Amino acid sequence: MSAGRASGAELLRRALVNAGTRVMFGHPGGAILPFYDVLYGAPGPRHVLMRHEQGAAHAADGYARASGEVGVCVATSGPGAANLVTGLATALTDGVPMVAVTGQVPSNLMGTDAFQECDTLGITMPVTKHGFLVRRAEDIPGVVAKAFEIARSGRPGPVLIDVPKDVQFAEADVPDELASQSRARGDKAIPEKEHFAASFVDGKRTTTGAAIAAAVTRLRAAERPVLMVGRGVITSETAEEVCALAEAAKLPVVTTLLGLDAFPTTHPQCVGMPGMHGTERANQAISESDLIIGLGVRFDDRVTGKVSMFAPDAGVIHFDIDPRAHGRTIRTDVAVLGDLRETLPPFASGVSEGYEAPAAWWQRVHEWRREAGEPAAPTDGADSSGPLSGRQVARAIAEVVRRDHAIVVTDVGQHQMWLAQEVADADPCTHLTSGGLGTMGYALPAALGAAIGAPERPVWAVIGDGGFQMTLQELATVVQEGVQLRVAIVNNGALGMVRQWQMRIHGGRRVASDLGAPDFSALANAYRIRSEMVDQAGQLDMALDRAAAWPGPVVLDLRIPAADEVYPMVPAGAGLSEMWLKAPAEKAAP
Amino acid sequence: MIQNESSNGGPPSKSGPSPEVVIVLSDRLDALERALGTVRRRGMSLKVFSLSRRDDELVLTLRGDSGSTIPDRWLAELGALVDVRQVNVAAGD
Repeated sequence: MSAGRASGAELLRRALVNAGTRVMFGHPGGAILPFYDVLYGAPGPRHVLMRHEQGAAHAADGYARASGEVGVCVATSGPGAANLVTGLATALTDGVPMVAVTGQVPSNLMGTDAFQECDTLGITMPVTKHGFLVRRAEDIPGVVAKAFEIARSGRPGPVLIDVPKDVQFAEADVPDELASQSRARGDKAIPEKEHFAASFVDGKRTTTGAAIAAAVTRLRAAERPVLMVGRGVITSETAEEVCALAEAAKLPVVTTLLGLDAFPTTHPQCVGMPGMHGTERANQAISESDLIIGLGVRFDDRVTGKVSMFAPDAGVIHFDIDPRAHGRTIRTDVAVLGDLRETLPPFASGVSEGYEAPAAWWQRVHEWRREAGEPAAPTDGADSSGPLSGRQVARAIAEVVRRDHAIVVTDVGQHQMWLAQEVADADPCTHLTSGGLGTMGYALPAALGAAIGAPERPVWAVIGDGGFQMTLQELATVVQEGVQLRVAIVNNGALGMVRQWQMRIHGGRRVASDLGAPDFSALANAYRIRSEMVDQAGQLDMALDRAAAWPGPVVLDLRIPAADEVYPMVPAGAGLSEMWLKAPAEKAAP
Repeated sequence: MIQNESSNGGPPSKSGPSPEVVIVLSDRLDALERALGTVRRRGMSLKVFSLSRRDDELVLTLRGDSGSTIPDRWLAELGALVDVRQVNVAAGD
């Protein structure tokens, strides 16, 4: 059965709508023009014209993280597709569901080094979960449906659909699914596969139920357990269940960078973020633990530090939907493979029957809290007068974000870590950052996407002056779309984290880390955006309040000293127990 | 089914003096490229022993050097690929 005929481009548009796409972020070009042509006068999806394809990918990423939907980005062939790569890799590393649609040169020109031709599928293969090259217009509905299914299922990730220009022009029957707007069938070219990954206990494959039972047994025998919460809790929407488990069993909780919005940071059982710039208490708790229970975490190198020194006395239980994550970096004793929505309830019910973490362990954790002083967060540079500091910027923005129930999107570097240390009680899906790939230039376009994906919340983009200059052209998109975005540039005139490493790890030899920033206020004004420069601590709160209240986009140029550094810090290659709580004087530059 | 004994958390699994990995995947060039890409990215020493078609599937056989190991993590990565339908690991000749 069919409901008439339509071009491949129109089938693509209808299939995207049918898959639930409300907004897509893109940039047109020759090979994707047939698709843009059918958008003329069409009821959807809404298209947001970005100024660079990298921005389109990051915006789709931010949209997906904030809304929980699949983010969609569109680009033309060749350079357009190649420019998506960083955004696709960012989404793959952090498990963000995305579909990227790219135009391709006409089929008869493929392989001839045609104008704006590149092997898009080949280039994007390592940075996507899957890719499709569509050869026939009639395949488009099934491919789109399958792409969304792959992007959402298991560990979410980006999927690419490459559509040659002649396929966009070609006509094909409109399947009933698209005519009636019901869900399209999957692509018959990819049959169901055998699922051969499995849970395991002590290296032996077993059922997930048996692995959960083993996890319960080991936790009930543990004397110094620690619950480690990551982004998988956000993806699986199990934050409430995790909190209930932690409270029932009185478990100390550490939250990874991408799990900061998965557990309330001011909860009395939360001991903070672990890893390179984590809290002293979190790293001490891990180092002295006898059992780590990871929920939707990757145990990446920024969290573990030197692997041989990570939780040296602890067994490891790891709940994750991605079989690749089990045992990837650290020894795993019990691997529970599956969606936390399904694996957490039986684990929680098994644990909560009378088990509580021993009082002696909590006494030890409380001792660290007293040693660190209250509040638990570092207090360096938090004076309320004098020149502005990075710490004060982060603390003040975190307070405004908490007060206004806003979304905060950070870029990568020092400001990202300061914010991570200061962010408090963020709701799920409200702390967005490129945690795995560490993509500078992420925050501005991702915040734009987040603002469109979650219009009910204010959105702050917090960016270093280095990262801002990588994608600042998207200010034009912010203005064109009328997005009420607050952009805070933490401006130290340097690549701050690079500079810090050079000062502390590379003998104080600073190379290529001083930027000499432009006048960001003048730049913002050129885009007709309200702007303000702040360099004194006493001016900050008022400036943030004015920005929060302004009915349009705002850029704040927050100038801090280049010498500001982020602590605590675990030097690369060191163990978590070897963290520096402040700058090691003996390693300072001459 | 993966037939080798998993040893997650321990040393990489050993599959005899000359391990052989048989991968059944969709009959698509990009599926083949994606599967082989995992070998390249991990810097593994596996070599293509044979490639054949079976109905609508490709059967790719890789062999390692004598005594070489097959990391479980690689098998899990293969398992996560959409087009990989089956993986068998066995000791070769």
